[in-house]
Amino acid sequence: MKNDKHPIDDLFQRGLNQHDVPPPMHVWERIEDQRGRRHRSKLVLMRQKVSIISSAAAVLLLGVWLGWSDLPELGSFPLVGGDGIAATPAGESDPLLELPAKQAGILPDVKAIIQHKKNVDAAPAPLATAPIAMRAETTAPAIVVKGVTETKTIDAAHPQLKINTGEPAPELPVIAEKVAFAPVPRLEENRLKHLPTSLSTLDAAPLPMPETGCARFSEGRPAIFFAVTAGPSLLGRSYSSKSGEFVDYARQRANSEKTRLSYGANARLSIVFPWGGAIRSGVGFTRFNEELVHRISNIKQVTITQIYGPNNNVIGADTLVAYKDTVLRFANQHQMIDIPLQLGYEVRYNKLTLAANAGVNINVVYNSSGSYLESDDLLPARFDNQDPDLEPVYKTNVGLSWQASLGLHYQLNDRLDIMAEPYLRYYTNSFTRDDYPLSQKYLVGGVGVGLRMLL
Amino acid sequence: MTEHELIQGCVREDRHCQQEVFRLYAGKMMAVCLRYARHRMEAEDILQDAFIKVFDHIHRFENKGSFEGWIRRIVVNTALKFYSRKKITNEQIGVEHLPEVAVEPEAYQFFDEEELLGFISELPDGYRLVFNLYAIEGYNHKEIAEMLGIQESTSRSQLVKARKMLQARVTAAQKIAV
Repeated sequence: MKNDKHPIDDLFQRGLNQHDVPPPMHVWERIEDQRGRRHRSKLVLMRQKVSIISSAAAVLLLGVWLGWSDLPELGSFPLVGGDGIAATPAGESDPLLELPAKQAGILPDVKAIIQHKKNVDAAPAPLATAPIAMRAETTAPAIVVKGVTETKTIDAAHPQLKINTGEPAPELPVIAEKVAFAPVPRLEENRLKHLPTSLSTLDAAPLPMPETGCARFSEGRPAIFFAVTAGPSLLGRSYSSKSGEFVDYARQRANSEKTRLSYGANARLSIVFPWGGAIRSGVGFTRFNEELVHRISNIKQVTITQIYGPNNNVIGADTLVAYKDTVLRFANQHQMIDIPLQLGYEVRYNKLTLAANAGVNINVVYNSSGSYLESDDLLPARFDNQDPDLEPVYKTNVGLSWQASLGLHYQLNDRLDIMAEPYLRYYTNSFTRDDYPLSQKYLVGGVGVGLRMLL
Repeated sequence: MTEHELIQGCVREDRHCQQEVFRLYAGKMMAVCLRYARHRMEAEDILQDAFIKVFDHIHRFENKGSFEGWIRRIVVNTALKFYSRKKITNEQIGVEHLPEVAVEPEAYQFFDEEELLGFISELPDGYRLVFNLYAIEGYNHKEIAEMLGIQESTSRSQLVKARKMLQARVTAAQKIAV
């Protein structure tokens, strides 16, 4: 602390050190308002985050559930009563038996089986059957299969499949009480080679999938992909005045703040259905870069030249003012974390997959900092939407943005794709606060490059 | 209700205790804000921000020093942030040509608090902050430099310029009064 006393210091210290004024109670009302509003907005933000995260989780779960439940119809189960094939004594399917078979995705085509059985009964050729593999997986009553006397192996790929060559036998009670069923090739494709009635789940070989032209998927179920992309983006920014008096100010801000190369990154889960449709969600980071360029002109030199008349008298003066410009540059940045919710469609051509996507990004975090020209004096001032001590310019959440993208994927191996995804994103809401005189919106174009992995 | 009870009430977010704290200290703190602000509306903004911080952080007050001093420090820091971080450009005010004029001892009799505040409020932001901190709050240049994030030499030169401007205004006002 100092000891010397300059007369001016002394004058003001003695005059003002104990200065007191009546408390401005109207400020108290503003304090109460602001604290109450901030408390409420915290609660709203917290609720928003919870609802957004739970919505994203719900969408993903719904997608998974819809996809995994896309299995053959119940009516195709073979244990329906018919000629020669008795599933239960009552001739009805056993729900206890249907359920595990359904879950395993191994329901055979019962109509084909029945049709085949009719053909077999009428034809002289030996009846194709399969021995019943004993696996304690489901509970079911005895299954009766007609026409089985002796067997021989006919399919190296399915050693458990055997064909009967002997005479029809009356009825062969199946001694296993617990069986599981394997998929049966359609009769149109496997002309009566054999008629499997039951197979061990472990022994059942996977059937080749038909070419669908759509995205990779396995056994009729949707594929789940995890993709990570990152890449540059270009900003298109617009300022508009909310009232007529700030039109010039909008122009000043647009001219003084230049957009710079920006970038974004995404981590995303996709559920791609066998028919090509896709649901995507995850988390995305975006950073907008801008630069405030402010020019300050200071007088460098003033030259006054007198103008003389014919009589050598001064009749005027020319004043020449030379200015020296100083250019100040300030880096501005807007950083966002969003949750994308997108729907898409994918088409596959050999190793290439094309995807079209559209959806929204829900903003959960938004930070902005940098410098801008103030409206009152057009001088640079700092902004930071997280610093309550600075003039509030930008919101703390920018809400929804709409996005459309095209994805190009090249399959590197069974599980991995390399991908590039150009996109366009439009922010419907202004980044500036409601009480700020200008509206500031963005249209962003960019490309994300990365990898996509089949989970 | 004692000061300690008031503070505990504020910690519990008791609205009546908060209002009582505001009523007790807002007058003195408004006077501080007026010294740092360019005008009354700005002073009220600073006061508002400062008391919000007081109520947000009152649980951190450890009863080791004066409660009023603690509030005053928050008010001063809020005012400093309000200006030192708001404006980026250096202020270039031509005061070098102003002569050093001695202030007459009788000057104290001529000016009331409102007039003195008027003189201070006319100073550019940087000068006003440094003059307030040095001449009235009693900080030295090293402390001021740390608080404002500037060089000590800048603090010294801003103080000198602030004094010159104030001297000129005080002298002019004296002449008018005489």
